[in-house]
Amino acid sequence: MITQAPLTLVRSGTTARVTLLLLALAAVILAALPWLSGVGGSGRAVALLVYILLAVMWNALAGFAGLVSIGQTLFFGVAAYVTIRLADAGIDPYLAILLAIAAGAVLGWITSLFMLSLSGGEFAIGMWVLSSLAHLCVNLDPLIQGETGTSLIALNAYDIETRSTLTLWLALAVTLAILAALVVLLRSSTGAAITAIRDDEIGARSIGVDVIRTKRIVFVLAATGTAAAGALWLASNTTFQPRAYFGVQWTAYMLFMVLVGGLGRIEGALIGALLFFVIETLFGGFGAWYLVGLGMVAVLFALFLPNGLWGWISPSLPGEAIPTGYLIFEKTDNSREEK
Amino acid sequence: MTTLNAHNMSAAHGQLSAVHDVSLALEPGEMLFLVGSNGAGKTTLLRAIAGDHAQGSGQIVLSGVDISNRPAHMRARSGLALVPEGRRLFPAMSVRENLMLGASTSREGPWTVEAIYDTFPNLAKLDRSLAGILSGGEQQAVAIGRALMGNPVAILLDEVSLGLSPAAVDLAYDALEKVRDMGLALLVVEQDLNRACATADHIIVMCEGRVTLRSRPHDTTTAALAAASFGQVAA
Amino acid sequence: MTGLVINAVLLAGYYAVLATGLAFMYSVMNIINLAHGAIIVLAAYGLHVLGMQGVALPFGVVIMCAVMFAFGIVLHKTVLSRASGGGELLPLLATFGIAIILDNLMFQIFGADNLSLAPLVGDLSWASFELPGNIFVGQLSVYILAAAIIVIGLIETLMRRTELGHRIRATSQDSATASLLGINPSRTAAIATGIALVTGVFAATALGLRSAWGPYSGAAQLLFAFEVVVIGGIGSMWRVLAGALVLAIAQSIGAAIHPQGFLIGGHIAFLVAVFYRLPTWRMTLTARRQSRAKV
Repeated sequence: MITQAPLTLVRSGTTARVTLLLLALAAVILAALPWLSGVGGSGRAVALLVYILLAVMWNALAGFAGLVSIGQTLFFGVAAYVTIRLADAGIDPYLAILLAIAAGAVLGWITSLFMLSLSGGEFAIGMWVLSSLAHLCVNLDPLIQGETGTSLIALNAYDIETRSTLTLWLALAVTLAILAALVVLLRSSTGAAITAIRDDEIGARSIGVDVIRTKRIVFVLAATGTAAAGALWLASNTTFQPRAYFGVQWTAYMLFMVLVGGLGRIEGALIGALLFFVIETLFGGFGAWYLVGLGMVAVLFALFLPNGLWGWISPSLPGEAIPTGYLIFEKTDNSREEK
Repeated sequence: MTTLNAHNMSAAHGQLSAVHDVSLALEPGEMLFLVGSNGAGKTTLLRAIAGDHAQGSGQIVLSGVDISNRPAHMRARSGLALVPEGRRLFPAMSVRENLMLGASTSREGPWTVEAIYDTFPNLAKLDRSLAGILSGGEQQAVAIGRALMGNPVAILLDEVSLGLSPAAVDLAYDALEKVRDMGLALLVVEQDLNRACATADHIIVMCEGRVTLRSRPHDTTTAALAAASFGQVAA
Repeated sequence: MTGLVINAVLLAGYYAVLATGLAFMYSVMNIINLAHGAIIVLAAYGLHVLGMQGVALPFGVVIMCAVMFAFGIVLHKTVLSRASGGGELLPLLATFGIAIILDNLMFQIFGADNLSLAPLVGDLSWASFELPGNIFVGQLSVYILAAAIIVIGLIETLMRRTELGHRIRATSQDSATASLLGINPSRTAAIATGIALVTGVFAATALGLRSAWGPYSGAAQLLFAFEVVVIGGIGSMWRVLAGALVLAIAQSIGAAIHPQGFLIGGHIAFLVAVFYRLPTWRMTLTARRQSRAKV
């Protein structure tokens, strides 16, 4: 007979605790940026947070729900547009941003009703068609004046330091909220359903997983996060030219961040966003060559390192950095050994 | 010369060893039956020999040529045909199109669509029918015909009688015996031990990835074959 | 009204030749090539470069067909074959990445200017046929429609009646079994990719002759091509022609309603096609039809 030492089941180990500490530290530093580096630093920090939102949300959609969308700009652009419209109607711009995020969630829910029946490339390009349609409709609005665009003039009610600080804190709060929502989702039974669907959709359906409902939850969350990114980008950049929000370059960025960081795990998206932020800071000025470089790196990763950087590093780390699974420990003589 | 020689074949499904150190030889004009219970590794062995499944280790020599490192399509072009488990016809294509695809090996030989229809008379009227709507027996005939169209020197057949009516099985084996008499070497995986004893020139029994018995039919009984299938080999 | 319909039909000719390569790769090889538009624009630039060297357009087309066939083989061997092993996501991501690379590379090399192949054919750009009823149709558009029908017909014949076509279909349906029959799956798929890109040369010629293009035109062409494929459905290549007709008519109707309505009309037709194919809608529509028939 084989005797097995008693096992304990926990949700997070050392790696997770370290990660949580690092993230908390990063959040505090970001929040303190207005005093550390003024308006310029705050602006760059918002850009970083926007990239994080886009990467994590696109990763959630593609990596967790298996839905590759090249039209997330639908939510990015519509949220910015709604913010402009609401601010124009007299609503405080920051309230307008929050309402626009809510609108993004609603749009996500409505879109999911018919788009989730598609899969693969039809879904991918179908979302792009919707985004193009939204772009065309936004251009029709006389307030926007076609590609000339307009600005979030209402922000001028705040002086520039207050404005950049408020935008930064709002961005930080929203990003943390969305990340928290995603982690909670993954640790819930829906999270288990997501993993099941990712492994084997038909098998998951056969054991009673409601595939459409699960995908819808992820889709709506992704729509909300992407909408938040768009509204925040507007708050930071102030100007709204439809092409700058609905353009396909955003999809290129999302693709790059997720492929390089690692598809299927939040940590991968975070690393990808950080890396993209650094690369963009250093090379963004190189125009089209910069995009060629991004594309080449993305393709190389897709072919040779499909699990991204995180997929390459994480097997050597004990446990998960962002704990969505379980760890099994064996208790031997009051000491704990990881299994 | 021996048509097909497989030495020390090993193959696995992921980390699970399915075939362990199996060797066999096929002579021209002979039928070698491979029997054993489900999960014994028979299908995996055939697929590994044909190149349809990754080979762990081992050597495959066809008509004196070592084909161990060749991809599946090159093995087919060297004269090795596999009639796979489940037949794997192209359901959206007609019988004739399926047969014509079998000739992709570009090998010289006597087999043409007309020759196939002579050997399997029931197929002639199905020339234009879609392969997907045929009965089990008709599909098996097309699958064997498709393999023959490649003018192979050796044919591996996986589960000939699975899902077929007794009449269809008889028809299939009539054709196979004719093919054998033309000089081809046949390796047949079969569950029906009586059929094995009646038709085979040699029999090999596999159990859990290993060979447990090699015999000529008249030197053994179905009871002994069954026992060997479950790992109970007489000392 | 007649003018609208005739112009829509001629426009459909362009959309059909545009979408053929994409439809071929999707229905025959199960690959959605998001770089389809960018590759066509690349071919257009190639034709332009050859034209600048004094090569007559017909010879230019022949040369580009050879070049793009080779490019298709390379594309398959380097990217697509590796990407198709990894599920549905990787080919989409890899081909999208290639589109980004090509778009921006072409911008760097050729600049932002819009180019046209019209100078290479002189008067043909303005020549027209006169139809009864005092209606004039552009000769170029008619030739493009004819080219679409010929290209689609050739591909259909290739797939249904030639050995190569059967091998391509077999490899894409079940490449493991195809290998067992002696078919080299990677070589067959590479040839199929080459063929798809060759049809793109004709699309590039049509694009360059009937209008102008710039380095980022690929995205719009891909969108049109994809809408055609989705509206037309999967199956025979003739569906591409049907899808192209519906798209062109929808766009023309949209344009008649509102000055900006051209593209919007096409997108709506796409969405309607998507709706129509949803199983629940299908069942509702069939049920209604049946209940009406009973009355």
